[in-house]
Amino acid sequence: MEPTFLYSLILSATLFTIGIVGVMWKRNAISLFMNVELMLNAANLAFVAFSREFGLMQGGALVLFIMTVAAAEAGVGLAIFIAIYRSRRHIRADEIDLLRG
Amino acid sequence: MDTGIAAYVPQVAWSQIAPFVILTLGGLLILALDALLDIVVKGITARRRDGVLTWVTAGTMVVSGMLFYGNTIGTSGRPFFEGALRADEFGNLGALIVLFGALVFVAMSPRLIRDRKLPAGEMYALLLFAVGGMTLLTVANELVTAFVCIEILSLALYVLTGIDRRNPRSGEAAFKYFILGAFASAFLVLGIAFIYGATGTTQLFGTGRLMQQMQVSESRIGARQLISDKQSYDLGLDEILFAGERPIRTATYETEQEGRAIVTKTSVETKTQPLNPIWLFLGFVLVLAGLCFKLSLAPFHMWAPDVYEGAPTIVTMLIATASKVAAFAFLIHFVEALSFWEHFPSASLFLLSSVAAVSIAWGNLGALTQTRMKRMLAYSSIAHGGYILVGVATLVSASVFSDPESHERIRNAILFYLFGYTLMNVLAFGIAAYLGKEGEGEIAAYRGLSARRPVLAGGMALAMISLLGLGIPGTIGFWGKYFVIKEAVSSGMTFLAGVAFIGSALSAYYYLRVVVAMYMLPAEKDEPAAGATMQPNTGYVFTLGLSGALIFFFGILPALFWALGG
Repeated sequence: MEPTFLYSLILSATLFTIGIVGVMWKRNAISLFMNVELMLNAANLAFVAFSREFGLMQGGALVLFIMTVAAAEAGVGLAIFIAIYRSRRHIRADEIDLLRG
Repeated sequence: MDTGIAAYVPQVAWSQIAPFVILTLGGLLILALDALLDIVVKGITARRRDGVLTWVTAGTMVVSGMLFYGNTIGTSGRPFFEGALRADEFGNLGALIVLFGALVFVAMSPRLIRDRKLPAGEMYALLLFAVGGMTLLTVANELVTAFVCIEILSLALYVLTGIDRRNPRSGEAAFKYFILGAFASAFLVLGIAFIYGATGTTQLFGTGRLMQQMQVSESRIGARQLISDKQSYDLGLDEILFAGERPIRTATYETEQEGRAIVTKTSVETKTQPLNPIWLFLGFVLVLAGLCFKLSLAPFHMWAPDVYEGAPTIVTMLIATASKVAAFAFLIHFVEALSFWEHFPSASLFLLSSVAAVSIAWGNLGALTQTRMKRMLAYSSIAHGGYILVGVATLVSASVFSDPESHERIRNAILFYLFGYTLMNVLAFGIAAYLGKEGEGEIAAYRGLSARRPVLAGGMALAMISLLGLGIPGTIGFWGKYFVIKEAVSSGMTFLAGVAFIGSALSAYYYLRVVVAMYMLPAEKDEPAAGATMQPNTGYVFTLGLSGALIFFFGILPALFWALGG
């Protein structure tokens, strides 16, 4: 096991954890979404690290699909945020509570 | 030995992928028609244009469904499309159930579009994309393909949830669904990365015990080289986990024929003991967590009540039926591919059982205190997800004890349950949407419905009794639960069977409360006559009638379902 492989995995795990903590703690919808993107990219990093470690090209190619999907997700997500902002004039996640739960 | 990149031409099985291609092209066609109809046909009314779009959408789905049915007959269950897809009978029938749910959506949507002034083109295009993702998910044989399918269907459903833009609840539901859905998909990706890291492949099923068929040509310390005469390299998790070896390098051999390089052999180098069980288990847990979100199973169900309540009711119906059926089909393929590894099943069995038990408990207890119809149905669907997961756990236990005959029976029981679950929810949500504001709100508004709208009250009572299942035979819900619990008991999963039994006994309270409200309690004075403003279209009435009839029909003759499936 190369040290770079181990470092990549540790970095990936750290970023993923930061993402989870951020989603739990942040109130602004944009910040929430940024943390989700951080988690996705941490997972991508793990994917590429495994791929490199084993000398298989497949993993690196699959990451491209995941990145594309993440971009589409950002498009839809920001559109939803704008729709929310238009009717409420804010996007603070904890104050969007018409539906109880 | 490595000859580098060979001239490998992928083989595309057009007849196999045609249903998905048609659905996607149909979605694009709808977008084009929506933009062009106004320009090309002078003076077309909005109503006529929406009518054209509705028929094109329904037609696309019917054609796609017929192709699916054609593929179901004589399906080989072998991977195709470079190993990314694999259509077994379960996947194809699951896709047909998904298409049924989507067709019901199309039949019910014209009224919603008219009442709420929604954009028909966007709605139908999104629906077709979502259905394309769902049907592809039922036959997905590769983890990243499955992830992309889950995202396609989720992105379309997020927008459909929030499509009623004048209603702030709809937007809020879309917001919650999106944030939690994106959060869950990150877990899914990390899980896939770990499984890839442990096994070196993301494919679920290979071309059938390839490892065993490969001839060992050369043994070296810690690694050996396997050569097959297959043209492509597609080892699946089921084979790699079975053999306990991870492929690390592939190479192809080619010979020259008539001036063209032709691949004749593929070699796969493997290490002998590289499988790291911890990575694999972590990957399994994370993928399961991501799927549990889609299936609104217990620890990840928080979004369900809010989204079910806020979304337009027929979109709720689509989320509750079609997307769940697709995700369950994938979950079953996923656990089947994993369960051959000898150390792994006991842990996964425990995990699946506990998720099932907690879902049943949480869903049923949560539904007891709900006063609003759609929230009650949301908790009920969490509980139903738990019952289906009892079937999945039983399936895993049958794999552990390698009992292929009961394996087949359990798969059939789950498929039957999914079909019944779809029908019951179509009827319940369909009638709730039919009644408009009264039906979608408080359960108290159902008081005295039997006097005002006897037929609708009867349909709702049928849906509730069928959802209740155990206790009253003669509905499809009864047989669905009966088959699943029977298989669980005969596989020795008595604890789970007991939980399912107690759970459905508890559910009598909240399902029958609706029936009691409709038939035994007088209407409140100030209540407007429910459904007075409605203009039902024929398709709407027809699908409600059909669902009700099928619930009865298969409730009396459940065995006929298998005759249909072939």
